[in-house]
Amino acid sequence: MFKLRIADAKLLRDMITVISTLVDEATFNINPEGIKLRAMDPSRVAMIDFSWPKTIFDEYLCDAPMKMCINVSEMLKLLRRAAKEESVELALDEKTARLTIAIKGRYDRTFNMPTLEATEEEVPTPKVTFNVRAKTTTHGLHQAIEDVQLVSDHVRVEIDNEKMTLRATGDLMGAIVELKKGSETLLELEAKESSKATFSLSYLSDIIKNASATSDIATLEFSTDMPIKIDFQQPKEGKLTFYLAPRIEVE
Amino acid sequence: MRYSLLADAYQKIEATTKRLEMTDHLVDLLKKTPPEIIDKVVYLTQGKLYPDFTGIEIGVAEKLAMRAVAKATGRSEKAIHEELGKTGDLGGTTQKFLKSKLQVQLSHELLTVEMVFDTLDKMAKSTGAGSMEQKISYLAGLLANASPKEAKYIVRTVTGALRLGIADMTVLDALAIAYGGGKEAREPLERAYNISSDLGRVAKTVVEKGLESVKKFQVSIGEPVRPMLAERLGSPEEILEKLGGKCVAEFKYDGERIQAHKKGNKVILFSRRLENITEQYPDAAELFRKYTKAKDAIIEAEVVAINSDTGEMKPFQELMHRRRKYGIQKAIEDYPVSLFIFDALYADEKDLTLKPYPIRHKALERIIQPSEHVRVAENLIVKNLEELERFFEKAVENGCEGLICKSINPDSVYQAGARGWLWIKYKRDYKSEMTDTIDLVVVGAFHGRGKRGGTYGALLLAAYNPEEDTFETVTKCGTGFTDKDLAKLPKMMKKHETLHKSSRVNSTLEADVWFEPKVVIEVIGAEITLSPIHTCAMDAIRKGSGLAIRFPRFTGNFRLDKAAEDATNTKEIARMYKGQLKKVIEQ
Repeated sequence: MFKLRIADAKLLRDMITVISTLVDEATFNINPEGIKLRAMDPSRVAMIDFSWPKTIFDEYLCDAPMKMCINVSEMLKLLRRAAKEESVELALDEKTARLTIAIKGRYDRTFNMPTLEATEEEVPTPKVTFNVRAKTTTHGLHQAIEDVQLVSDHVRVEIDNEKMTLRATGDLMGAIVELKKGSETLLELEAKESSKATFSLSYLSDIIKNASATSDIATLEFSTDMPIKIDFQQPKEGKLTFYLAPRIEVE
Repeated sequence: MRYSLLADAYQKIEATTKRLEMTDHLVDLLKKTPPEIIDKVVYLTQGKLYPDFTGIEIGVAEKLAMRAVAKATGRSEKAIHEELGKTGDLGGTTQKFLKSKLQVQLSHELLTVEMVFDTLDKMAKSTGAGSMEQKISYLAGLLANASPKEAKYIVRTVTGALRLGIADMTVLDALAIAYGGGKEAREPLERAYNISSDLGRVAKTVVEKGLESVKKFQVSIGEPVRPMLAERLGSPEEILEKLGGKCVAEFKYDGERIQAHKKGNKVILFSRRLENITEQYPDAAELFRKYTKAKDAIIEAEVVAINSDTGEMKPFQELMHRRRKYGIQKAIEDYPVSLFIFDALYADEKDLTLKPYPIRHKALERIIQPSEHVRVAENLIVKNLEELERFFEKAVENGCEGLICKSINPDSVYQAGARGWLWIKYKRDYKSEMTDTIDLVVVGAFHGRGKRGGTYGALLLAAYNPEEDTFETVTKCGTGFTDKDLAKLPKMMKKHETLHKSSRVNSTLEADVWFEPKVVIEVIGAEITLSPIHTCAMDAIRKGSGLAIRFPRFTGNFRLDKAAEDATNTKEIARMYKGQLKKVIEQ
C-alpha cells in the first residue's frame, strides 16, 4: 500500500511542475524510505534525477517497493486546485490502479485518476567528469538566464577561476552576463581548467524556472562541450538533479 | 524489428517506377518482418496506422512537424522554413538537418518499428488541450533517435506525404509471393481484402494461419465490404445482350450509397469510400435499426433527400447538406431522407456475398420491414427492350438518374471491390434542361400528409392540347407553395371540384380530388423528360411515351389573367424538349 500526506500542497505541486518540464508520463519508484524518479525527456537531451525521503512528508506509508506511472500534466491540473496552506493526501488503490488525491483545507475535495503502465527502462547516470563547479543562488541564475534568453535560443556558458560568463548571440542582438566569484549570485567557484559549453535555452530556462520554486541554491558542473549537471538543493535529504546535453558550437 | 529496415525498403521502392520491381522490394521487406507486426508494417507502408474505415489518422500539420524537427535538431524554425521553401519537401529537409544536428543527446536509442508505430499511435489518439505540444514532443523524441534517412520517412509519414505509390493490389501481390506460395494466391487474398477492407488483417492471417484461413474469410460486421461497382453501356440493346436477354432493372437513385452494418441495436454506416458516416446520418441509422428485422445484417442502400410534405425525392445536391460536422440536428429536420435498400451481404448469420443476386434479394425482402421511409429499391425483371425503356423513363421521371441493370444468372455473386459486367448502368445520354417558366392548369390534387394535413400535398398539372381540346397531365407539383398559398388553396379550388375526372382531362394517374380545368399557375422545372405516365404530347417524341416536368416548383404566380385554354400547350412543351436537348456530360 502507498499513502502520503503533505501539509503544504504547494511543495508537491512545485515538484510535479519540475518533473513535467521533461516528461508527460512519469514512473515513480516508491519504497518504504521515500520516492524516486529518474527520467529522460523523449528527445533524450535532458534527464531528471529526483528523490524525496519520507521525512519530507508529514505522513508517509509504503509497505513494499513499487512503481507508479502517472500522467503528470493531468495530475498538475488537479493539484492547481489547492490553495495556499491546504494539505494534500495521495493514496494508491492497487486493485483498481487508481490514485486518489484529496485536498483538504478551506473545504474537502477528492479526485481520482488512473495510473499508467510503468516503464521498465532504467535510466543510467551519464558518465561524465567535471572540470568546473559553480554554486549560485537559484534566483540569480534564473535572472541571468532570463537576460540572455531575450536575444537567442541558446547560450554559451564559460567558467574560469574568476567568473562565470553567459554569452548569447542572436540574429540581431547579443548579450553577455558576467557573474564574479564571491558576488551575491555566485557563491562558490572551482575550475580545474577553463571550460565552456553551449546549451539550448528552451531546456535550460524551463528547468531553472521551475526548479527555482523548490530550491534556493543551485550547483552547476560541466566540462568543455560536455553535458552539464545542475543540482538544486532540496530540504532534508531530498535530491533534484538535472543533466542537459550540450549543443554543437558552430562558428 | 529495426525501423531502418523499413526506411531502406522505402528508399528502394521510391527509386523505381516499375510495379514489378516495387513488388520485389516489398516481398523482401515482408519476408524480413516478424509475423506479429506484419499488419503494422503493411499499414505503415501505406502511410497509415489502421485501415481507413477506423477513421484514425496521424494527421500532423507541416507547421507542427517543423517545430518537432527544430526541437530534435537544435535548429531554428526559421532555418527549417527557409530550407523547406527551396524544396517543398519537409522529409528531405529533416534528413538534411539531421545530418548536421546541433543538439547532442545524453544517450541514443535505436528505433524499432514497434516504437515508431506506438509513438505515432499515441500521436493520433492525443486530443484536447495540450495535445499539440504533446504531439510535438512525441515526434521530436522519434526524430532525435532516428538516423537522417529514418527521420525523412517518419516526417513524411506523419504529414501524410509518404507517397511510395504502393497500391493495395501491389501489397496483395507481394503477400501472395512472400507468404501465399506464388502469384496464384493473389485471388483469395484479394477477395479477403475486398470483403474486409483491411490489408493488415489479411496479411496477418496469411502469415500466421496460412492461405487456407484466408480462403475462409467471411464478411464481418463492422468491417466495410468494398462496394461492387457497375460498368456502363449506352444502349439498352447491348445491356440486355450482355446480361443474357433478361435482367433485373433497379432505379438508380440520385442519392448517396450507404453500407449499413447492424449488430443487435448497434448500427454503423459506411460511405462508398468506406468512411464511417454514422454521425452524419443518425436518422438513417435509426431507420435501419427499426426496420431491419434481422438481428445482425449488412445491407446496402441509397439514401435520398426527400420533401417531407410531398414525399417526392430531391436532387443529390440537397442531400449534400447532410455531410457536415456541426448542426446535424437541424440538417436532419431541413433535409429528411428516405432509404432505398438494394442489396444484402450478410443476413441470418450467413455471408451472402457468394450467393447469386436473386437469393440475396430474397433475403433482403425477408429482413426489411417496408415503411414510409424505408423501401426496397424499385425494381422490375425485364425481358425485352420495351419493358426496359419504359422502366427507364419511369425512373428518370421519378427523379432517378437512370437504372442499374443486374444479372440474375446463377453466377451473379456480389463482386466486392470490382467493377464488372454483372451490374450495368443505364444512364441518360441527353437531357432537356428547362430555362423558362410555363403556365399549367390545375386538374387534380393529392391530399397532404403531416404538416400539410387538411390541405393539398401536391397538385396534378396539365398542358392544353388545342387540337383535341383536352388537358394532358405533365407533372405533380408540391414545391414552392407558401403556408399562405396552402391555406387558401382548398377554398380557392373548392368551387371547381368535380366528382369525377373531367372528360377534357387526359390522365392515367388517379388524383384524390378532380377539378374543372380553370385555374392556371406558373411553374418552373429542372428539365423535361420522357414519361410512361404523363399524357402530355403522347407519341410525339417516342411511341407510347409522353413528356413530364422533373422537379417542378410553383413560382408563386397564380395566373388569374389566363384562361385554361391560354395555358402552355402540349406542342410548345414538345418543342422545348427537342430544343433544349443536350448531351449529358459524365462527372
